[in-house]
Amino acid sequence: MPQITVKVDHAACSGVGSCEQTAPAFFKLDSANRAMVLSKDGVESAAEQTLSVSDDEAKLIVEAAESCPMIAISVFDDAGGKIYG
Amino acid sequence: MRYVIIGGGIAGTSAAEELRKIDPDAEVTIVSMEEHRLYSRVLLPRYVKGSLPRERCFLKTEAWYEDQNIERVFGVRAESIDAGSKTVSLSGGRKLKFDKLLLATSGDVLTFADRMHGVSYLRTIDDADHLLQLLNECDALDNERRRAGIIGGSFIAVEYLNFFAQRNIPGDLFMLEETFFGGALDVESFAILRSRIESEGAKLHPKSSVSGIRGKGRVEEVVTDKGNFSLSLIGVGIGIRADHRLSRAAGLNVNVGIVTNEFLETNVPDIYAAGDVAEFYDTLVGRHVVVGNWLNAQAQGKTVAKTVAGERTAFSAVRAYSTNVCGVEVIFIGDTDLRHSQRTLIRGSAEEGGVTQIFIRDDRIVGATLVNRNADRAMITETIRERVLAAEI
Ligand SMILES: Cc1cc2nc3c(=O)[nH]c(=O)nc-3n(C[C@H](O)[C@H](O)[C@H](O)COP(=O)(O)OP(=O)(O)OC[C@H]3O[C@@H](n4cnc5c(N)ncnc54)[C@H](O)[C@@H]3O)c2cc1C
Ligand code: SF4
Repeated sequence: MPQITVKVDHAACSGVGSCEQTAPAFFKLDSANRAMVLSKDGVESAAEQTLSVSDDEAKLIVEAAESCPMIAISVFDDAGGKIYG
Repeated sequence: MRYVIIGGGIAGTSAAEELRKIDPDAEVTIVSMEEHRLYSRVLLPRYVKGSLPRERCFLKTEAWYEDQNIERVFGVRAESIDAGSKTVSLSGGRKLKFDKLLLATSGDVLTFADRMHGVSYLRTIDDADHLLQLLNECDALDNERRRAGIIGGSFIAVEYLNFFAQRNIPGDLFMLEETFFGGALDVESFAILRSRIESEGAKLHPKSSVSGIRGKGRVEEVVTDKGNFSLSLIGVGIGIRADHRLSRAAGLNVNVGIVTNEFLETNVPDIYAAGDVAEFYDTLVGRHVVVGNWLNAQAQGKTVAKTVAGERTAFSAVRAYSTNVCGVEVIFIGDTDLRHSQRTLIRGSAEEGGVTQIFIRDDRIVGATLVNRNADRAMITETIRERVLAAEI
């Protein structure tokens, strides 16, 4: 299970919602219309989360990040290396 | 299989990417008039404002197309389609055979008068480069000539307000309608925006029409029914319109956009449309609509790829567009065309600082505009998706 850190830059996010549509289990727009990252059980949401995910889930999260037209989402591996963003 | 996609924007590129995933052996070709690899139009305003380097607007690298084995025929126009022999003819003479063809061509920006120096449009990254140059020129002028104007009340027109406000360039905005966005905004919502915009130094002229732009070699004056205004830069945001000559000649049904069903299939077998150019049947609002937004174009590209590849999939999504005008948050959700709504409800007021306008048809909520009321988004999206009766909220 890779560990990844997912971060939404709220200064850049304009609430387009591509992330939520691509990976609804991991992204949700909050009441201020900014994307939040959900914890794996979907309970906690924050602008930044470190998640233990399967390879497929990691792929989906990177796909969601790539789908953001504002390039507001960054994904890092467990060594802090940037995978996307 | 040979798939040909006309249009290398987000709809066309998403479709190509998805087709490659579904069918690793297919031939996938994208033909596009623009030379550039995929970039984010949504990021162009940030680039113009200087908060993002130009290079960061690009969403795909050159290598991506190669890795995906997607053939790029860029800087070329598709000039005709022969649906019988399944061939597309390109400028420069090349002909491409297809088994399935996707049109993801969006539209051409509507121009005002001629392209006199000092007139700006904003659709492509080249337009953004040009605008930056004009803003720098205008910024350097003496106070008397350091003025700008805007024609239109569209989402693009209001972006110019942000550009001028950021540089403290005083500006006048002229639009035919009483409120922004084709008049879709109610007067209370408009009042909130207006007072904020005018406090930033711009002046709005609703219900005014521009009859000409004058100047010797470059813009000096705009002629309107409210008088003549001197300025040295003018941003035009009066919309886009699809050039349907290509589609019509191929026998496709066209109206405002290329008419499709909910599967994004046109009336001609093996020809599909997606993105800003599609006038698709929206099952959630029960009519054909043309939508001009990023997420819609992206999602339609992905969905239509499935249908094109043989897994027939209906497209359905509640559309939303959000923007920020001089610090005021504006969100459009669902169907906000006044001509197709029977009545509207207003929540909030200009005095409270936020307004939600709800559009109702056949007793169901079909759309809404939110000004400084972001928190209503989730609830409204849900009511449209679930086709809730207006009486129940
Ligand atoms: C400045 C700006 C800001 C925006 N901000 C937002 C926003 O905040 N949120 C949002 O949701 N949306 C926004 N949008 C709208 C969004 O960018 C568009 O809805 C989306 O890009 C449409 O994608 P598309 O793939 O349908 O068309 P396009 O990206 O326009 O791609 C169509 C391509 O087809 C090519 N083409 C056309 N005809 C031919 C032909 N005959 N032969 C070959 N090629 C052809 C064109 O050259 C073009 O490159 C914004 C748009 C602009 C311009
Ligand atoms: S896709 Fe990007 S801009 Fe849109 S909501 Fe997600 S993070 Fe924000």
